[in-house]
Amino acid sequence: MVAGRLKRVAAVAANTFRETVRERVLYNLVFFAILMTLSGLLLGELSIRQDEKIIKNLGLASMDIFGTLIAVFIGVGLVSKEIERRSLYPLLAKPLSREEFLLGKFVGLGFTLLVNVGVMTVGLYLTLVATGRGIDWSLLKAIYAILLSLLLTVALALLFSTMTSSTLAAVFTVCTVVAGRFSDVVRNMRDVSQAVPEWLVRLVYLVVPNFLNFDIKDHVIYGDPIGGGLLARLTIYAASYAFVVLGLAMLRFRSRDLT
Amino acid sequence: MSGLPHPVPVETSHLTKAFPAGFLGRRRVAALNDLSLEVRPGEAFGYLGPNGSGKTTTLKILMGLVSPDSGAARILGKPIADPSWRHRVGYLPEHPYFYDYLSPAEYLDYVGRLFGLPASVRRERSQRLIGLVGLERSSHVPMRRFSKGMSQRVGLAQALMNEPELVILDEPMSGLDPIGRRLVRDIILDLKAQGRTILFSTHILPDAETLCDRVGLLRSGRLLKVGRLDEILTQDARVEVLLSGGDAAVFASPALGVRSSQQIGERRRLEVEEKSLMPVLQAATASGARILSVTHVRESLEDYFFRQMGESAPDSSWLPGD
Amino acid sequence: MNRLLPYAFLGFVPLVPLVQGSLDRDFGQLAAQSNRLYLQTGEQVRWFCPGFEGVMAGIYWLRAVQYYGSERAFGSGTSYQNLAPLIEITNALDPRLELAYRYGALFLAEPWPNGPGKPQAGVEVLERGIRNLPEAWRIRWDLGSLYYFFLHDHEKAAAVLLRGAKIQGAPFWLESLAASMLGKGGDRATARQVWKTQYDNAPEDAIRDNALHHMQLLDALDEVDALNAAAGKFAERSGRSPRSAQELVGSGLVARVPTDPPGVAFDYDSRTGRFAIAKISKFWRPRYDQ
Repeated sequence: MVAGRLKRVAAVAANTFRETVRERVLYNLVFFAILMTLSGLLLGELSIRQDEKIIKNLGLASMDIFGTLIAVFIGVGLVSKEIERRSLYPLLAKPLSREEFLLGKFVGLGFTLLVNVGVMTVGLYLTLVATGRGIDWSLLKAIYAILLSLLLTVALALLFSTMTSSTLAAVFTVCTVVAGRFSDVVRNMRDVSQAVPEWLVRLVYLVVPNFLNFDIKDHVIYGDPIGGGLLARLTIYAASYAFVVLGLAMLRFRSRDLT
Repeated sequence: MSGLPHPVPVETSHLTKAFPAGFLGRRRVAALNDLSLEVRPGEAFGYLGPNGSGKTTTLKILMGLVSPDSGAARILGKPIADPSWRHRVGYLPEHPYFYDYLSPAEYLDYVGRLFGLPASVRRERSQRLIGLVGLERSSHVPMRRFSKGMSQRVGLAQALMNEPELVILDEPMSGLDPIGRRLVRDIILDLKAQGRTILFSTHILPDAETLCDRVGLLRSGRLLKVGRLDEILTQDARVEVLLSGGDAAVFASPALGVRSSQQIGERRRLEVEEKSLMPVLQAATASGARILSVTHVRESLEDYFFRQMGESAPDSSWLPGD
Repeated sequence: MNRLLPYAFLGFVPLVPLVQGSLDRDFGQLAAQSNRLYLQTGEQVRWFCPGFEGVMAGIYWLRAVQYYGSERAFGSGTSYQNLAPLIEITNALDPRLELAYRYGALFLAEPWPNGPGKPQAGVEVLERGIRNLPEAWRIRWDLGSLYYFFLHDHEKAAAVLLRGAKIQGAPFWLESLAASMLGKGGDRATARQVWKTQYDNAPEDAIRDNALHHMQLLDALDEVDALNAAAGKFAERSGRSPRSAQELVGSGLVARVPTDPPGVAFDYDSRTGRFAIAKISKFWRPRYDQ
């Protein structure tokens, strides 16, 4: 029974991946390639250590931004578009539960992002090697953290997708992700306004997904020690939060009438 | 619920559903009201009614897409929530939309995977079904390019991918040209011959007439009538006469007992009360017409429905033909 | 099983705050070890956020405050090197944010290890504030205090205060403060008076607390002087220094073992016969003649 369930989730995931490929999502890699090439060529002017850092930062930041854009804008359509166009209906008539459908969509888009980030990683390393720098394996830590944050973003997009139309879901997801990147501002709100009670600040801080956690680009580029323990904790945070969000999405989706 | 020993393919009991409407969804619009019906094994059941009468809502409740406010339904003896019956049922939704970027072969393969069919079975069946619905030449073309009729055929194919015992079709003929309609009709007849049960909704009455064993008539969410066609339609003694030529003004008159008269190309079709048959035929031949055929007809489903509709408040959206 | 799956997923809720807490600790430590400013000047930052300068000023100010706080808290080997740039960026983004000048200078002037100990940098910040907000008399008051306490330049301090007193809306006591600085410069009575003025008139808690801290420091120093005088008398009488603070108390010259305002006892060095503020006291400074 479990095998059947997994096979169905895999079928949905594979189809979702196929959809992103055929809908040309991966073309963003072309822009990335152009960006990397330009930066590799033009930054030779600056001092040796500076341009290496800039290329790395640019590469990682692009992965983050492009990945987030994909996660949000494809993610919010995963469910709402299927409902709007009714392509969902014949599928749910099959022995495919709504939960399996959601999970399959999540895994499918997650895999797309994995491929996207993977290709960008290769591109970044190629650029670094082509411009005469060495291979810095520690970048993979920052890339891993970015991947975690993208998966969390997909989960959020999926949740909003089950609740409302694609457009509104995109707005909500973007707001949540941006708020998440200002988590430190939230946490230190009392420095600016003592009027806000401590418990409220703490609550908002914990509820808003802390995307700042995953931004270890600078630490990695400047060689700060990032241990396996930290990465493990980041993984647990991302996984836990994503599970909760997916659980909520499932509950919301389950009770929705598909008229 | 029913007295039959064998699990009934479809049975509903007092289904009620109202949808929120209006500003902030405050108002409730009743879609179904206390609907109880059953579909018997091996029959073709025509679920008929004007637009907005609740046919699609009923089918969606059966497929678990919509949940009823009250009442219950069972498919193949199991509750809707039980996933096991889905392996034995096929469904074609209204206005089906499939994925633009997939070809019919790919879509059927996907559907097959959701049923857990092994690859060889998927391949064989999808080929056969694509052939069955007449899409062999487009089997690898992305469905983006498909017309409504072609999508409809894909819809039928995917509904049959698991060789279901029970087939539920929402407006199976919609969007199809006469060839397509004939195709679907033949497929349905074939399924019936194989012992499968078919429940389909339509508002193309002539099709229902030829295909169904029993029909259910729905209006404003209530089931007006259910029964075998030959029980519902009165055997109004009438005869259809096909002839050509002659002077219609002479013989095609109500005074003679001619109920309706239509010119179809070179031919004229008359519906005549049985008792007036001989005088009409005589008048026709006298005016030089050539009699082509004479057949007994019963009241058409169309007439029946207009009769039913006319008895209560007028309901606008009725399409008699196509 | 389908029915239960979402609830199983929701079961992960408690993990979120737990892991966030430990991540906060991880990052706190990392931050203390490394805090880089990519964009070093306000002009650079402004280039990136046209139209959002106000928001960015707020964000940079928060960063400055956090940075100051975390450097103090996580202590060792810190250099506060980004403090001045963060403040400068804030000022450049929002030249009218008065508190960034005032708190900023305060942070910069604080002596090591509670701050970078760069009063001259604080002066630059306040002068910038004066240029941008010429009518803000409080900034001039801060500048005067800074010159007086941290740079020990009584004449400049008084000059700044006098200039400030001429601003419309400035309080009357700025002038008298300037006068006493000129007249008595350097002694504790004046200092106490200046701090008391700040304490009475401070609009924000942090400034009031700082003034209180300095007043208590002066009290502590007075105590030390009194103790040393008593020790001296003891030495005159008995020909040697007291062996301990208790001995001094026992001799009746001092009523009880004195402590600084929060209650930390003063150190006594029996070799030199002198009392001093204890190293563990919060008032201890490498040079505390303020």
